Amino acid sequence: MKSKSLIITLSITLGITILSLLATLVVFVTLNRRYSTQLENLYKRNFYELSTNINDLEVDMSKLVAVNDSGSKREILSNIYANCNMASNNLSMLPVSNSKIENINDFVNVLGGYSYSLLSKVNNNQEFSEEDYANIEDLHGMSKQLMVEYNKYISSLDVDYKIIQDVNFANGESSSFNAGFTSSTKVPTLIYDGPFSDSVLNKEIKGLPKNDVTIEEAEQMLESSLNFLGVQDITYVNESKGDFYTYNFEVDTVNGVMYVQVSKMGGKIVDITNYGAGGDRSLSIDECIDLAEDFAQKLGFEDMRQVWFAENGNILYVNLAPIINGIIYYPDLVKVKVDKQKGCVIALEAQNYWFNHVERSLGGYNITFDTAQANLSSALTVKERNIALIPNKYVGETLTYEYICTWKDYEYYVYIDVNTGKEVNILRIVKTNSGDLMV
Amino acid sequence: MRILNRLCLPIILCCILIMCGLAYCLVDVFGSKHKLVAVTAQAPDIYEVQRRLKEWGYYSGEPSGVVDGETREAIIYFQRVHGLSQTGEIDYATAEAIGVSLNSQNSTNLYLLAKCIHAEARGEEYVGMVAVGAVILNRVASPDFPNTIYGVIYQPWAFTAVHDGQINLEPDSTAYQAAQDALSGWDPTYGCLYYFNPATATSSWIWSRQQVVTIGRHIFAI
Repeated sequence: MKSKSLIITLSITLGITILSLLATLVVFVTLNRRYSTQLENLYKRNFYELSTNINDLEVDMSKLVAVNDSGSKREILSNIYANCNMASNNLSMLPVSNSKIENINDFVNVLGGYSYSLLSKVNNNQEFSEEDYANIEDLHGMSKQLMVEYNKYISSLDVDYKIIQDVNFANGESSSFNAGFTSSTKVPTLIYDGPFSDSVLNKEIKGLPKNDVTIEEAEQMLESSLNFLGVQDITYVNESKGDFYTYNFEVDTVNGVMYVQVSKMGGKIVDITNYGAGGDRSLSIDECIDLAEDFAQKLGFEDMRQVWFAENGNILYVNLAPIINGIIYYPDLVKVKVDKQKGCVIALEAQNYWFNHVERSLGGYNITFDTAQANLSSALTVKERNIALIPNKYVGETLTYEYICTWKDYEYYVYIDVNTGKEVNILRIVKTNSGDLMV
Repeated sequence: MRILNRLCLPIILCCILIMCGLAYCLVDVFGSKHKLVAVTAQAPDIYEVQRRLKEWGYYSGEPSGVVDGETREAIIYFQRVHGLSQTGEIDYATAEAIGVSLNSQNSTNLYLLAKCIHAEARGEEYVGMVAVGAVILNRVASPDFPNTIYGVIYQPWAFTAVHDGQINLEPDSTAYQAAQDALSGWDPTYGCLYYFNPATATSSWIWSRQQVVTIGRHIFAI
């Protein structure tokens, strides 16, 4: 009797367990199918939307060659710009490794940037140059090639093709899905006023002396430049070969250990990061700004004055720019980070300074402060005005009158070209939790 | 029969364990529904609220970006003093009174960047954390990658920590600081677009990139 009840108990327990396992399996298979379908739908949407973007780009580029009216040009260029942005977004959502889509991404981003710069020309009533037309023709050829390649890939897929079954989710590299995006399209070198222009991506370093220094010479320079910080030891760490070729050192000072990067070209300090202990004296904002200006001065950055600061906790970010003969040189910014509680500078970054700082001959002024001010919106109240050299959005520099204005509770910085009287840039100050932001 | 007697208890125990495991899996899938609540403060906003409350003497803990019991008490204390409803939550009225704007685009970008830095480079030296943030921002500026911080971070297979879900960990204050530094323009990599750990990198392609600098365990490349 005992053994019989044992068998019954065991059978019931095993039965319940097997049933539970089966039920759970059914639940997970159903869920998996549901999630897979949703994911597949999402990928398919991006995949076919990308196809629409690429086809539309080809059509719009071909129209751009033919059109002459500025209103039509504006409409077509706006469409191209929007389509490029959408194509870039759709590409980034697809399960393809970035190394496979680099060419297409590059093409749509550069085309988007270039169309935006052409749009600015149309808005300023400028005609397209011969070079522009040649570029448009080249870019149209590429968009056509891309369209043909992509459409060919789509037509090669089976009717019941599923992206998620084709993708290797472990790494994405070995997926056959990648094949559809390995376009041979290569964007030519384009110089234009836009974010992906070649002149922006391969920016020339103008501010550094042209002679190269050795590691030993860089170390000697550091020892004398940082003498005011009580240098105890300098150790060479390694070198960086990015925009700036730098020798990197760890410098032991009374303020703790600093990581300092010195340019090989000319032997100048490009970057300092202090991750040591630091001092122990609390400073006010004004004292921090004085400290930042003094620090930059001692490192050889002349005539630097604070033009902007932002506070984030105990940290004060101070932007310094040279002010010479009453002109603010915004392209030559040096950024300094001060720890208010430690009472010391904890970082300095001078990449902008070394990229741009040269002796400039700025030329004259065609219009006066008052004439330019008359061009401002009548809604604005001017609080302060300066003369400022500002970087163009992407390439070059413009001498401007800077007007710091208010309207209701908003604060604006308006820049007017001293020669043409046109508004070059308008920035609005946005109060954020970590300081003021210019947008 | 004796064997059956001996095996009976272990078999029943195994069955119970299996069922517990199944129940746990099902609860994990169906039980952990996140509720939408009225309060939408994100970690950077919470961090700033805590910092300000501490400065004004309402809060004595260290700002962490996470609302805990002590933070709630401090908020209630602040709300009582300022005649606000004492909810203990960072609602919009309370945030406004403290002078913090909730969920600005700025704080959202900072939060996501800090999350990615924390997931990818926690344990690295500080410069290494800023460098990871700088690589993300360099990608935003490059035509070869998506044009937003969100697009770059969530691009498939771009970052291991996003692929395996570590991106969802809460960042610490060092990661916030590193993200803030990167957003302020600090780039110890001088324009790098890639980084990898030579001890774990399996892709042969990544070794073909031009290497720029080694910071901590990561090699940074263009």
